[in-house]
Amino acid sequence: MGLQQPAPLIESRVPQMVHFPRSCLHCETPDCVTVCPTGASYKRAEDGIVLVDEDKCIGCQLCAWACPYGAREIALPHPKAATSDAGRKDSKRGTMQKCTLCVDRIYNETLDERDRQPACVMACPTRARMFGDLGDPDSDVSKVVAERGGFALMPEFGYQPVNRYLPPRPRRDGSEAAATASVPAEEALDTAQLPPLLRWLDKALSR
Amino acid sequence: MKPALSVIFFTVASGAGYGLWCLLGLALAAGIYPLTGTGVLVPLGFGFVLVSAGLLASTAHLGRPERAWRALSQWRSSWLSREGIASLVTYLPMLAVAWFAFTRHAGMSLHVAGAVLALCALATILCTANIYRSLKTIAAWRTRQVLPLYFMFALLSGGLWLWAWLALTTGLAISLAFPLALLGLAIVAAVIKVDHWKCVDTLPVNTAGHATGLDMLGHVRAFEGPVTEESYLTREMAFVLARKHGARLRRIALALFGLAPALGIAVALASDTAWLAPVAALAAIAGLFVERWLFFAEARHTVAAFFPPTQA
Repeated sequence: MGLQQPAPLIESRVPQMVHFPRSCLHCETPDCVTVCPTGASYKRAEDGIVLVDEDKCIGCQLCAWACPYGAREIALPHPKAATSDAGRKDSKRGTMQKCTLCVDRIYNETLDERDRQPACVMACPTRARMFGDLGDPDSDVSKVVAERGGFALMPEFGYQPVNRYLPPRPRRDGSEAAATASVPAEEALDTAQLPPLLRWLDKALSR
Repeated sequence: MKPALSVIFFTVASGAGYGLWCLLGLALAAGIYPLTGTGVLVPLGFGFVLVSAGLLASTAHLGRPERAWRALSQWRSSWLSREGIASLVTYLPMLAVAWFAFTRHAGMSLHVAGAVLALCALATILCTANIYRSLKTIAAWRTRQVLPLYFMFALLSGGLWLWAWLALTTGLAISLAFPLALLGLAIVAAVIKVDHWKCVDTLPVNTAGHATGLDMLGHVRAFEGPVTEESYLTREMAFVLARKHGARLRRIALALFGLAPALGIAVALASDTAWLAPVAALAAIAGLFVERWLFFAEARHTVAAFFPPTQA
């Protein structure tokens, strides 16, 4: 008996909505670090977190260009930045900003241990984000990634992203037929009669 | 990619300046440059203006231009850093050539200074091209034509200015080889640029399914963007204006940097009209501005795939 083809993860033709948060993937070998002319963009040797030293960054934006994941954005100077005192003193002005993996939280010993997690992980109401050590095969995150087939984004760039995305789970109710049946036949809707807000809503939802 | 005026001006103006310095340096090194004294200082100084204006303009692209000096530190990995160093180092042989020209010194040291100037200018152009070529996220800049084109455009635009200076001071009769070489260069550069454009047009476009890794589920499309307003990423990486007028702008660029100099040289030589030389040089610069604008505006960044087509 030959090897079986792996089945598609979700066999469904019902449209499915997936929220897709992007953040820094703290790659192993990222070009955002090597293209930086000042050394402001760096990867920490001890834990691999990719950071920007705002005091060294010249805002050339080459690192943002080098990132395929859209993890970096420049802090554009406020229109009044040049004239106001606060604007001139703003240390972030004109420098590259990115996810820090909340370095100020995850090592903070004044916080309760379970609170030493990035803010996005803490804030997610559905616990869709997880934080842990993927370098340790026995950690909770490593197990979840192995179990659910976590994957790296656009690995062909060779940056070796460290974060993993988990594919969406199959729908719990499963049956495609039921889902299709629950969609009512299209009714005629004269959108011109709708108030502007609903008309916009109709347009947005019909896309 | 958003075409930033500061970077376009920098690559075009400094490119022409380095091309001019390179050819002037080579001619001095080989001992075939027909003029001395002011005849060297004027084109050298014009190259200085082009290079320096470009470098100054490039700092306008920085969020914190007052820290530009920090860019000199990471030469071991960053082409931008290498470019910064190369651009500053090139001033040294330029000053040496200027000194020897000023003191009417024509010995071995002028030949050496000219050769070093040519090498440094070439090294700077190499660094500039590699800044773009090294970005894996922008496929249009990784094609095989990008590096030779940067060299050719620099030598063509700088060379036309040098020829214009020679034509106006010594007349057209003194050298035929140089303008004919420029004519050939204009044609070859135009052919390679057309090849590059063809290449850019056939590059695969990154899809939402591939970018998110969700194409295993079926067809993936972005329902809506992460933000309703523009963001840095949509402004900077998802620039679409050029693709609408691309074909027309390409023809304009080609006519200005390829056809105009080639015709200008041919007509100038045939009819002995020296004033056509600076016109050809100006046309080439104008054409390269359009070409460089398209170089940025037509280049698709990988990250655009994360945004719905209305935003990207």
